[in-house]
Amino acid sequence: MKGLFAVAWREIVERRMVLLAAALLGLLVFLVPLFPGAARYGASQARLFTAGFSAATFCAFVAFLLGGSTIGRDLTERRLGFYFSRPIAEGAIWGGKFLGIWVLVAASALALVLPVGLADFASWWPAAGAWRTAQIALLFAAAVLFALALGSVVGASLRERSVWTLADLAMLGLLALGLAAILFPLFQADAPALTTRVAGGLAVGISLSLLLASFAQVAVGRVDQRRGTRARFAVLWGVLVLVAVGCLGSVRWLVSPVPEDLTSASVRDITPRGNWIVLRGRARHRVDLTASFFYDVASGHFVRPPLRGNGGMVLSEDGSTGAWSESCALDGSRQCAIWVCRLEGHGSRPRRLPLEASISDLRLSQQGRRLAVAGPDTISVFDVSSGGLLAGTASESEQGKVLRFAFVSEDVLRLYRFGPRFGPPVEADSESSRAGTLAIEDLHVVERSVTRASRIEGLGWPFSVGFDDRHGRVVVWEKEGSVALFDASSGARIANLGQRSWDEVSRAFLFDGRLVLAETTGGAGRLQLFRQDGTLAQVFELGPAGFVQIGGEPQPGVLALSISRNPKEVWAAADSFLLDLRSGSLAKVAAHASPVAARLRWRLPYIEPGSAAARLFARPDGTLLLWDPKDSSLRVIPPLS
Amino acid sequence: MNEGPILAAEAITVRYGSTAACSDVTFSVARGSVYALLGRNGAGKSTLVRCLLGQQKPARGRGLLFGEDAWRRRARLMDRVGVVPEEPDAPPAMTPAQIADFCRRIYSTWNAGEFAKRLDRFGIPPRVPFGRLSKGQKGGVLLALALASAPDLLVLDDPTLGLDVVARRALYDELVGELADRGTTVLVTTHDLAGIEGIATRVAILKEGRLILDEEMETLKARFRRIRYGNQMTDTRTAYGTELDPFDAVRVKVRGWGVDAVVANYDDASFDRFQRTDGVVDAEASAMSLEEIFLSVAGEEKGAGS
Repeated sequence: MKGLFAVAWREIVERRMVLLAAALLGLLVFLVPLFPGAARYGASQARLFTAGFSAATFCAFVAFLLGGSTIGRDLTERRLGFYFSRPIAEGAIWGGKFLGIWVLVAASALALVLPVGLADFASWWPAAGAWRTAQIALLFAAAVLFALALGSVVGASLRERSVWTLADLAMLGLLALGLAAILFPLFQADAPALTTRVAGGLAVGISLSLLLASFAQVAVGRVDQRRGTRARFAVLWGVLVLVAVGCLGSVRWLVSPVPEDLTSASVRDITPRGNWIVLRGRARHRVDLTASFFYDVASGHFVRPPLRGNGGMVLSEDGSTGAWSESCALDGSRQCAIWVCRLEGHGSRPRRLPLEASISDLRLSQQGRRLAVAGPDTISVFDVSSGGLLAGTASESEQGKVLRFAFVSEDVLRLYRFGPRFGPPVEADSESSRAGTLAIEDLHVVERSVTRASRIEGLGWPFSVGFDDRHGRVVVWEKEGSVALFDASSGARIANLGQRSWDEVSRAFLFDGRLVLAETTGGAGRLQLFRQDGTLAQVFELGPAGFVQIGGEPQPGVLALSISRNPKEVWAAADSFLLDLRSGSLAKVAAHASPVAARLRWRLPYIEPGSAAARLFARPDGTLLLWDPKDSSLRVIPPLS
Repeated sequence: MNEGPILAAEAITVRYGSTAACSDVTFSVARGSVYALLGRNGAGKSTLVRCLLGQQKPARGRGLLFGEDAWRRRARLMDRVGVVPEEPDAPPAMTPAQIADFCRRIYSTWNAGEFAKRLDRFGIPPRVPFGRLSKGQKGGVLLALALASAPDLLVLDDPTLGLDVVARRALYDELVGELADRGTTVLVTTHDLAGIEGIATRVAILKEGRLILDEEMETLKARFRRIRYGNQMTDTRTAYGTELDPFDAVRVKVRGWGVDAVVANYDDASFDRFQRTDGVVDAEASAMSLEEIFLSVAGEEKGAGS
């Protein structure tokens, strides 16, 4: 150790002028408030910023410069022979030089910031505190070491001026490509925190390789410049290749989670029949990376779309096909590419459709042969096998803006236009602004034509709609509380279902076309079952309830409900129940859970009884539960970590 | 205490690309000896010294210091070695006093008084940065540094390079004093053959990376002689025939007055027989200086100038 400290001390003494320059600069910072324009930031802030900025730039520059002269110059000028002729170990020679300069630069930073830091102590310490100050100091110390190592290696390489310098430059180019290959998938996956961590790991790896290379040059080469250069090159690029390969492997692993890695999940789409769902959630060890899967709840098979900023993921009704949009922009801001994948069996290799469009929403037809794409201005239908455009229409017209669309057959896309505009009325008292319309149109894919199916007018704005694509009906209720059933084909009002409070009612169509309305009044829940013609068939008292949500039918004739005692917490405080529509019996099936279908009714054209869509329940913590009708048991889907 | 050689080269080979700086060099330096390693510029002396000091790893073979591998044990072994390098390599910003202070921290024995006295004897100011000293003064500082730790082995790599006569004399005086006082083993490479002749006890010559001679100074000087003679057996007086066959003639030149030969295996009996050879007249043998021997062995090719 005495050799280490002797060498370190010698470096400090030899380069002590740096410390003096920093101290002088630290005093000059006090003059900054006198500069024109500095006053508007406040004298204290101006001084602190200047001191911090000066310390960072001055020390980075000095560390890099001294790093370059420490090893590289000493080798080329044969000065290391002086140390190697003494009883000093190689590690002490190298370490002493690094330690000396590191201490010198750290002391310079202190000399630069300490006077201002003490003078303006009251203005920064309360905000920063000890922990944050320590963090900044540690980060700074590590950055100085990095600059020092970088300067040492760069200096040695440039002073070499041989074929090794060219080889270094060539490897540097390869390294840049490697770094891009490592970080780009994370960047595209829109996981800034994870990207930062990987980048931090890379920085540590690069720093380590620089330090090892610098050490190898001294320890292996000693005074033999050629041997030292060979050692530096081999260690630097050998370690960097290892780091890069390790990071590549890690990133490959990070962007390839499996459903079992999910720590919480939400269901983004679900087939109205079959077992496929779209899962999205955070995976373990992956910080803020969001993973998405097409997942078969029956078999556990899954297809993972690449995490290139994937946007909407949709399933065909029969679960045979999945599609998703992908970002074309570097930052993932614009979705424009579309991928499709056959999900039957174990899933096929995803295929990119030969088209590009601005995408805000997607729908697949029942059998997955057609894909409807909503953009900012148009809704287009593409042939999935060829990618060819089949038909399209404007997403906004005099009839209103298309807010929902669904295939009613392979060749017909039903469009629901909400008009005259979507959003709160401009003038609350104006009669015209309070009149809403729902126009239902059919886009005929083969004929490339749009026909108006119906138009429901005179709706109080705002209004909400429930859809029965299977039987061509809608249920509309207005803010004021009027609920009515309409024929989607003609726009004819089938039945008035009475007045209901907007905030206390939920509604759903059953698979057979019957309508269910659930409401809470006076702290008790009640469910009304209407026949297809809108006449009331049955009323079920649900007991104490703050809000009731309606799920699917896990079994024919059995309806899943979530009942929350607290009307303010519709999901978080809900328990799930099964209501037997024949006997009226109500049984709790899962505590702190609600049917997944209740959240996805807007998207789903219908929910087949017994399908996964009807049997899935979600907990607020992201746990998904699948109800098994055979033994009424629940199992976690997928097996969460 | 290990009674083996203080320093040894074991089949050291060093290559710079396709060029061999040293080829299979083997020798040893006995305790208390002054070993002069001679050779022309580029013969591989400095490379060999660096290998022996553990500063450079040979491609093959190894250097032994005090019986231990110099490359592996360099740091520990250097505590017993004083080194004066070919190029003064001390940090230029440091003064001799600061350098001495640095060395004081890392050597197990350090005689600050001796260092100061030597600087005084050499007339070197202790407070002037090393980089601003003259070449001779730098050499003096490094010699003082090398001796201040009372080393068992002193390695001098061409210490007189660029020194004037006075500085050279001072260096040798110091060296002789050290030898007289402590009996330090010395390895010296030099081009100053006249200067080292009176000090060296053993001589080795490197030529193009190969060790072509390694011998006690006394024996070397005894077996090398310059023989000058005339030859009346041949048609022309200056030609020579087979009369030199009994000798190992390393250089033969035909001059106007006769034949001038250097032989490497001289002895008086052989020379008596040579004098009695038919046709050999006016034969005389004279002793040679180290420089003359070096020139004969490493300077010219055999038979040149005939």
